[in-house]
Amino acid sequence: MARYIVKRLALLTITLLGVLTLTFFVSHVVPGDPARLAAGVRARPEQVEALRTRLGLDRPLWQQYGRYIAGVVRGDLGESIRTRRPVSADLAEYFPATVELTVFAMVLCLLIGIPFGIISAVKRESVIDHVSRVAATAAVSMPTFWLGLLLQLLFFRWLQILPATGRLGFYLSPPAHATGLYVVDSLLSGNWTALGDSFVHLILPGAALAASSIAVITRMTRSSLLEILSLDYVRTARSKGLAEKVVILKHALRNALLPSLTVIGLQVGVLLAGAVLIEVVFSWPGIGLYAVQSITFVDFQAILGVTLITAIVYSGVNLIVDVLYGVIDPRIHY
Amino acid sequence: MRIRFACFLVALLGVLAVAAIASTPADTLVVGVVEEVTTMDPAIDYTFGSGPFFRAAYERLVTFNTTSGKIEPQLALSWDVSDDGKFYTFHLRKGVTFHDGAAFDAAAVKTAYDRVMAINEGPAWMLTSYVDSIDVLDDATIRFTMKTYPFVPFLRVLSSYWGMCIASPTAITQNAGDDMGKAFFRNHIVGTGPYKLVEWVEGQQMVFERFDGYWGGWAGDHVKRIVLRKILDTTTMALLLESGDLDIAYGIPLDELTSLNGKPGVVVGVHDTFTTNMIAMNTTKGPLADVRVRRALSYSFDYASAMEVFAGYTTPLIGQIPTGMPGHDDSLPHYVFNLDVAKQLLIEAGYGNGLSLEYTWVTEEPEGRRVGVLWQDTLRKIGVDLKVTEVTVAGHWDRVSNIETMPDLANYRWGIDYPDPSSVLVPLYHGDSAPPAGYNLSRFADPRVNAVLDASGKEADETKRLQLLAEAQSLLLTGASNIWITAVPVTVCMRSNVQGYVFEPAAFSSFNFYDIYKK
Repeated sequence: MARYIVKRLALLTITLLGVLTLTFFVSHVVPGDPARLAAGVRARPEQVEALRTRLGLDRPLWQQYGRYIAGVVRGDLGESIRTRRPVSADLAEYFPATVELTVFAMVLCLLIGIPFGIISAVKRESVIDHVSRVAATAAVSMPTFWLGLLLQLLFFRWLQILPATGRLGFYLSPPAHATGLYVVDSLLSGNWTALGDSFVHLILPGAALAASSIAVITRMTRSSLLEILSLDYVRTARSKGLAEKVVILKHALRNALLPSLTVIGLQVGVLLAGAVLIEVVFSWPGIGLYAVQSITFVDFQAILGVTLITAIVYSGVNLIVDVLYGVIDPRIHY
Repeated sequence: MRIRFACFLVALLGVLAVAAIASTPADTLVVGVVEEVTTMDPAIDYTFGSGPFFRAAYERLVTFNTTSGKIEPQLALSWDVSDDGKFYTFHLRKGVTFHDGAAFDAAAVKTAYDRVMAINEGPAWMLTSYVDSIDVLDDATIRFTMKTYPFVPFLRVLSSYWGMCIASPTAITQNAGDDMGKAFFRNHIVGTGPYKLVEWVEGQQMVFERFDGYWGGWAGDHVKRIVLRKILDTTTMALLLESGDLDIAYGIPLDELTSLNGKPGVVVGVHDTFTTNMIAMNTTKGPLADVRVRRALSYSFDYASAMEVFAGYTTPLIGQIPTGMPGHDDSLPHYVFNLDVAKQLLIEAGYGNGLSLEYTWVTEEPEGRRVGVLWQDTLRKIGVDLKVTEVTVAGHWDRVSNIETMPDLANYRWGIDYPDPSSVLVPLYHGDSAPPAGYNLSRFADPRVNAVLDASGKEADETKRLQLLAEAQSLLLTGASNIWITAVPVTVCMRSNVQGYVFEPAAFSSFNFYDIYKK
């Protein structure tokens, strides 16, 4: 197992290098002069040139690439030309917000998706199965940002029970910084007001973000559980006179979860991608919002930083999923 | 089981209802803004995002009064200009302190402006182009020696909030570091303004609190706290204003205002700015090098219908100088929509069989697309095929700054640097202002226009100056370098209990927070 993980980590660095190389060259092909944008369109030509030299943008592309990769190896992600500070400082500021949002969404996915999948499979063709099918189709086909706006309209505007934007109400200051996750930080510092407020702020963006993934996980759990339930060993278990609850939860579910696990791992990528839109709709100050602003500014270093961190998270989660296979299914050895 | 779950849901909703919505406190003004700055440094920032807070926390020597069109005192009480325009001497206000307790005096002005010029980024050109040196004559007197003189608009330059905000000399010296204080001033404000910065949670909000030592005093109605909330999505911003979670919403797009019109407790405000929207015509090559074709296009543009793009909130621009700015003249001749004349001119120029042109519009300035599509329809009737291309702001600059890639027609906006007609006419139409030096995208180069513009910068007599400006505008209309569409309106919507706001077209994204209060 340890050898397998080490091998995967080695492969991961190659993947990351590939991702960075591709992003580097693609983002440099996009039209737009970053030095001109950073200096401001009204800046004098000599100001633009001075900035270009300072940012190293006057060097040949391969040299810029070499310097960038060398920097990344040293842990230096370069300086954002838009925010004028190290990209690592920007990411440290914005990434925790995205982590908090996606983790919350993932928790929603698991808490809602798996139980509903089980119920739909067990009570196949029942009302609840039909309702969950319709809901799943709707959730998958509705654009995330649109759902976000609908939720805002319903819960913020009409029912007036949930806030629409941001991580905290304007009258509150963020809790003492430890992890950057407001829920965790306010728990750690015992700041109960901030805890309640930051949790409440998570609900709408989290739900909007999670909706389509919940649907996918529900359907996946349902179909794989149905398949397992038709197998001989389940019939054997039933014929032994085991309680239906035990048959489903102990015997069938464990095997049925395996395909769901793959899907859950993939959904992390979906959630990270969806966060870009959701963060804009909910003014959620995460890396999605940061990426959107960096892209319009042709802020290479920032775009690369976001790409790198997203690639690491995505590959990391997939590695964890693969390792979990072995835990859930003893037949799988690495 | 089911009942227990239902009880839990009800309880949860109850808790949420208590926790969630609170309208803004009476002494706090909450303003929703779309744009956020990336640095608060007055020596570097050159964006509209700084408008809201620069006037809350920083002050300048002089300000521009939009109503009278005159320059008024702020930190300077009075000033003398030498007859030849070489020296500007300012007599400063006494008893003013910075947020950090430092005293405001002539040395403070010099320290602040010398720093701006030494950093020489963004807005610094407004000082470096004109000022040779700044000398402290005594504690309360400072003298600017000009490089090029006379330069009549200089006082108006000093009223710009870009580069002209005066930061504390103590803060500048103590935090100089090895980067002239750029790191410190990136997220600190130490000015003399009525409100001081308490907190900036990047990507979320800025909080300002009343500065007790403000020289203007706190008699009368004022708010104690100002919160600038960054809200990127304007649909959400409108919802927040409607529910009372925002007192002011700045920058909701015109076509989204319908959701707010007529809502109780909401006052919708749409104001014309000094930013103009126009189409540059490439005068250097192709069919548009012929002035007859440019005139034909000027006649082919349906000015009145184009106003629908701005939801009917504005009127066509007459001349090049926006309404409200000195030099604007409603009696100037201007083009009117007339397809017959346009067709005739095209035939005269040899394009009776039609021609094909490319028009670009900038993603971030969405009115350009609709203007283009409308025009495309009209032009088809006189045999002109208009290809409408979208460009990003970065791509726009790439294309227009190179004469080889400059499209035939480029839709763009121009916002002024300082409230004077020279800030419109010189960078846009002077022959020396072709990119990258300036923003003369049409590369219009008429020696008569250049001469008149040069003369107007030196003409101290206001009446004569206005005559020169009118002459320049007429020449530009004859030369048809651009199609002038309109002044770009912005929206400032607020709750009806917000009082005292005055819109300032010269600094349209700014707020006179000191005068704003809630009933």
